[in-house]
Amino acid sequence: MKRAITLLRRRAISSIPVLLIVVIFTFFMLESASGDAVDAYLGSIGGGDAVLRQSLRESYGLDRSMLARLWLYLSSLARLDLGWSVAFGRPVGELIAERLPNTLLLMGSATALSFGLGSALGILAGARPGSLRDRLLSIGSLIVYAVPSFWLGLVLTIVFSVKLRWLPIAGIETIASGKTGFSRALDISDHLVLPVGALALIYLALFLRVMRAGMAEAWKLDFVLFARAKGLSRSRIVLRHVARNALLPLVTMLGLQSAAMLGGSVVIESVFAIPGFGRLAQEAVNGRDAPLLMGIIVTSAVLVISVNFLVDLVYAALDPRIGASEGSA
Amino acid sequence: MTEPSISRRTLMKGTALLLASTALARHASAQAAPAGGRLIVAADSEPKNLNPAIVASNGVFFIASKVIEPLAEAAFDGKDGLAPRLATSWKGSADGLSVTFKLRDGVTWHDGKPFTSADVAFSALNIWKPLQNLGRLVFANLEAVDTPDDYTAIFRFSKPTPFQLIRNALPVVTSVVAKHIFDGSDIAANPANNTLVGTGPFKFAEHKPGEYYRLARNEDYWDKGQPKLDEIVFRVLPDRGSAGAALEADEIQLAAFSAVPLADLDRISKVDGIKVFSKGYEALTYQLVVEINHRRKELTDLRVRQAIAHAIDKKFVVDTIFLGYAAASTGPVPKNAPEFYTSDVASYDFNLAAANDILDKAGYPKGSDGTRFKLKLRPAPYFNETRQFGDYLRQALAGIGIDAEIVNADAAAHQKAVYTDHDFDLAVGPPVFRGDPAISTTILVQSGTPAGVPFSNQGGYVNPELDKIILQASETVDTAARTDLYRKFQQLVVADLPLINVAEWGFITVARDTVLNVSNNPRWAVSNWGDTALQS
Repeated sequence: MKRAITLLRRRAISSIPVLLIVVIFTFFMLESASGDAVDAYLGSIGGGDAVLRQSLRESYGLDRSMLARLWLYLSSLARLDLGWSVAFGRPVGELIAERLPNTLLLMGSATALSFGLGSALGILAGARPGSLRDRLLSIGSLIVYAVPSFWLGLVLTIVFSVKLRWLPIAGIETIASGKTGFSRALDISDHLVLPVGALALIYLALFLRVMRAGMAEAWKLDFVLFARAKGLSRSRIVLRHVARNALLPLVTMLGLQSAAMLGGSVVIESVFAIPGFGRLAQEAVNGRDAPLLMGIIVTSAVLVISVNFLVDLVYAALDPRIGASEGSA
Repeated sequence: MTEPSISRRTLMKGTALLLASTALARHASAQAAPAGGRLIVAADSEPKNLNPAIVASNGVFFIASKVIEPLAEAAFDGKDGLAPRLATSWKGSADGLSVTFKLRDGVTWHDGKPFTSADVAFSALNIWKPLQNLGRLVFANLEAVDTPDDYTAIFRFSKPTPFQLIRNALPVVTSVVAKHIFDGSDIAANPANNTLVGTGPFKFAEHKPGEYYRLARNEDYWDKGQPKLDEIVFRVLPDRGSAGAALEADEIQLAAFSAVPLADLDRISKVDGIKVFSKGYEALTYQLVVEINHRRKELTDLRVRQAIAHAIDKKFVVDTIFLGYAAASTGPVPKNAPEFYTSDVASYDFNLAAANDILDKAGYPKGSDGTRFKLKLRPAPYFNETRQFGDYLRQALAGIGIDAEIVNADAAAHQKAVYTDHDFDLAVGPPVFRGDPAISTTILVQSGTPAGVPFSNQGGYVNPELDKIILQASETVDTAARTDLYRKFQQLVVADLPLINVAEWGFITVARDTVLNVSNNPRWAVSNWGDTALQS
């Protein structure tokens, strides 16, 4: 426990310069793009005159110099104030707080499902490398992995919502239903089945393949040969020796995938009309909403840093060698 | 049914827009409709400012027009194409210096306060004229609004202002908001811009960001017997594929503004219980225009512009890109504006040989690689069709030896590149015709617009003769003379081609059979839906 807290403190301090670099880099990336929030807004409302354009630029602070704006942003960020969204006309912090839970729910469920099912299927495939079962699972996972997630989402919708009408088509819950408590939770889980399924299937394939590869590798290791020579049962070898050893790279990948899944959720949230973080990012880009986009990127960075921290803790628990070196350093 | 007996399949074929504007224009009284029910509609965006008095745009009207009403709405069969709303009559003075509105008696705001001429005067002077994106132009010379009594508002102009323009602009620029809510506040920052209080058939009930807007029935609506519906829910569906699927699954009952992609229409129109409407957008006709940068040497040559016009196969564009849901343009005023439209303009038939010939004679010979010169082409990102036309135009130009390089960008970058930096040679734009050429059409070719004004003369075209006509029309009070000036305007524009009008289109509404009284006015999607009902 004490080791974990030391690790956390060290991580927190080392991530401040990382965040600063991310913010400044994003700021200049946005600056270098042609056009700004006022251009995007006037285009979306079908026109306006030069005076209107100027007054909007002033009210958004876009008439100030680039460095003045960067300084203003950084100083408000230091006070943990994420600023004011241009495209939504609301505080960025409020918008993020509103949308983040939906995405965490979506990503969390999808990660759990893809990791759990992916590693289980990976064990099945890797238990007998080269067998028919292994080949079928490997080819199947390759096909699923190659499918674009928006397409998978649409196909699932057409089959399960339009044709069979088993599941709702889109949204996070039935609109304006007035449901509360347990029935609301049930309603939300109903709505999550398809988007979580679509998002999880893609990553499931990835976890399956990594697990399977790790196991195929482990079969050749000396301690597995020894276990076999000892005459241990096959199921015991698979679970205790081979699978456990192959799980380590999977945990590493879990950390890396958390970042990728944030990107994948942009598409899934659009297709399934889930008011989440990914869609907010898309709207921020479309509206050239610099403060909102920066807020989203900072939050994502914090999210990825925390997930990686958690993964490190799990890793340390699985493999004592790693924890020991971190603790003694 | 109110529609004449034209089958869906006939409508599908080609002339939908024309049919909509002529044959379908006469329609009977509203369907005897059952009351009650919740109508769920697809919405693809959530405007930052929902106040139509400040932001006159279709995205805002789509939701806000059910809550906040204009002085008059467009109508297929009303006098001058208008139906009364908050005003019951309107009359312009002979000198063009005033317009008198008689206002409806017995109207209350959703918060119970009475609606009076003070609200109209306040909206006109404090919002439409100084703040609204389109009203700034229409009401530029508005000096005062007299309110001799609670139900009369007299608009006074500092310069003669054509009554025809004011009349045509009524549906778009005159959304009335309550004085008691906005007076004395910072209007642009007032929270009432998003939690609307109006006089319309529906009250603003709830906005759940990212999910839906909910509007509830106004029990005290002035038009007794309306609204029919208990609730309208605008469900946010950003993905176009989902809108069609949601309709099929009956999770939504209506999708307007072509929320269902054109490519899906043929399939979805065959689904039982679903209907496709191509009318109801006549007063908001979009135009597909090739914008030309007249700062570019080759393009200042009329012959080059003529050759480009000859190279565009408008029929192909209408049939292939719009799948028939559009009409070929003849000039800057669409056929759906019969008050102004003239077909008596120059025409440029599709003829590659003639185009090549013109360019040869104009002194732009093909080089050894078959290319005469290169151009930078920027298609606007707003619609699939503008982007697709960009691809088509590139091919069409290749056919006459012009090598166009396509530069795609998002809305912000496109706006800046074309309208501020003028970093383009050709652009593809979708301007909207809004009932009168003076509102958003003449600005496309008038000289002297400063850089940065969206949907303006970004090509830097200067034609003193055309400018004179535009100026004259803006001050001509006599309706016949003014209409005549706009006929000349069309002829001049088509003759000199400051831009090339290719096609004009409305949108498509797809609805379940159970939704009644759909598309029964020329701005239906952005009108109040008081008579829209659900068959139980």
